[in-house]
Amino acid sequence: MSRGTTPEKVVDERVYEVHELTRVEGEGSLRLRVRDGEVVEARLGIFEAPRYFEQLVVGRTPDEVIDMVARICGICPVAYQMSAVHGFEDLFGVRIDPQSRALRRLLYCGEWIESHSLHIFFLHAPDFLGYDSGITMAADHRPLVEQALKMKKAGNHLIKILGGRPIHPVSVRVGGWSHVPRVSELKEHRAALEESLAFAQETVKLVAGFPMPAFAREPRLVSLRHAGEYPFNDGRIVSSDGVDLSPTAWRDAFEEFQVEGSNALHARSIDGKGVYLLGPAARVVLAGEQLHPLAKEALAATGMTELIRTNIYASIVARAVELVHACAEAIDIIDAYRVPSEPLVAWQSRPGVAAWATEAPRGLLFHRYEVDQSGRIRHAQIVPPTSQNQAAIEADLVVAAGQVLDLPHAEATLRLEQMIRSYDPCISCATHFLDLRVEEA
Amino acid sequence: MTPRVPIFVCGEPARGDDAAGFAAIDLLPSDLRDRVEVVPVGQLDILFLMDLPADSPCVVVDAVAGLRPGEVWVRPLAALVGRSRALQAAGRAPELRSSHELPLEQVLDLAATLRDAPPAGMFVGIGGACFDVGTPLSASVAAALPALAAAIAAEVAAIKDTEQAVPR
Repeated sequence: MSRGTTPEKVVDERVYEVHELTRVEGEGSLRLRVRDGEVVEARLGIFEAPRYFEQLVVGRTPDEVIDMVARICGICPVAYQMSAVHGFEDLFGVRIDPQSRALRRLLYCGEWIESHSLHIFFLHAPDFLGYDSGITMAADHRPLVEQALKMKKAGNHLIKILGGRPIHPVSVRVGGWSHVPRVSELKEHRAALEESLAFAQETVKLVAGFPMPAFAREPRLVSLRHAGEYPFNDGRIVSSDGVDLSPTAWRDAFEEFQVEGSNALHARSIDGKGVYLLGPAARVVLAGEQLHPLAKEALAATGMTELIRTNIYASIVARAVELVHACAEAIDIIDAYRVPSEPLVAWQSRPGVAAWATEAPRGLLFHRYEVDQSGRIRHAQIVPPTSQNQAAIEADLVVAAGQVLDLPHAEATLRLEQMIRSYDPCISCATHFLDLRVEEA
Repeated sequence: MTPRVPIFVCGEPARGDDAAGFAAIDLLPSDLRDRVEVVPVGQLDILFLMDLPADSPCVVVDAVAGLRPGEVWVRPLAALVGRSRALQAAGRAPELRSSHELPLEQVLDLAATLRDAPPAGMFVGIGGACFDVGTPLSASVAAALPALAAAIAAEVAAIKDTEQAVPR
């Protein structure tokens, strides 16, 4: 805390800063400055180097792009493959086998299981349980950490069965799959998923019992919504205030823009309505009707749907509910699986714009590619969820400031870090992230 | 059933001296290759260690920054756990090479916490000079590859002598 004095007035300014945020994916920082009780600066800094993927894919073919964009993230490579492949198939008029479509949902289930279990138990739960890391938490909660590791492994193994390896899978192709599993391969993994489902149900109860810091705001929520399924790789882009768009039409309502000092683009709605929130909390609120019955039951038992909507700290509950969904749907898909009669359908390239949005673990992920006459990429735009959530994070920092000013400085800073971790930000995906420093003046 | 010793080879083959472990594995004598299970892991993940039966020894191979280039460095895995805990007690942490992965010492520390004992086995490292993408092995490290391979072979032989290897 610093105090500058004049004969007329004493200025009270506080600065809360975290130069390197921990328990997030990638490199970012936080700065919050409050002067006389008013927030004068709330910044999430992203200093991780730009990744240049949008330029790297120029001149490449669609199938090359699918494998390249998976490398954007080691946590959510499937999301990048799904947004890309669905965009190309939409442009080329490809209709894949229904079983291939089910396998893509199964692949997404694997990603959500490994990503959500990683975030809940190793990145976020230590905040609620009073530990500085998952490692120190393991000493006191060994069975919990062991179960969490098994669950994460179950998700990664599902990706390996379908995609050849536990991260950066390589079998997704325009038109379907270059390789599909035998029925027996998936059946062998069913027991691990049953165990994960039971643990996910217990996880919902566990995290719903965590003490939630006070926090209230009315966010604008955005996610995919589908009439017949919980949104993974299909559905319409909807918002809590009436947006309703094709998954190809993100740019009809939103745009990216550059912010000085950040290596990640921000995003905003072009109607001037300001920031919006993506991710598990948005999905559970906007598309909760399509949750698997077991997930819906788990959510109802918490009685926390409204809290999930208004308190970002409660996103950990939404994430746990989605763990239940992903495990339960994965089991259902495996039970109904038969090898696709045509795993890879023939297709022909055509020039035009390939665009699609799917639901990454952290929220809506939009891709747009301009394909030329030779079938190669002329221009690419990739809009990750963390990029879009940056403005919401900064807006929530302003709200959170009012809740932490009476706390000791270190505790206040930790609370602000915890709030940022509630978003499960993936800075490496966005490579446009924020540096949190809190100053009170 | 033939017992095999797991060798976890860390590193990125495209990043200069980070490829040293992979290159050294290629130099292992063929009779030894039949007695080991080489697992290329990039970064050592906790799940690799948790998959090992308790008390089953392994060898972890990686390039190391901070040593003289080409210097071969062999330590029990338990010693690295001890280093992690000593740093933690001093309010510090092992230097991060990536925000996406735990440092090797912390992975071993976590395994020790979950197992109530440090992982059994040895770490075999080699000092590196350059880890830039697209660069070859430095001359110092290339020259020391036979020594690195010999150190790996010696540790495998020691494990075999104690007949603690993992059943195949």
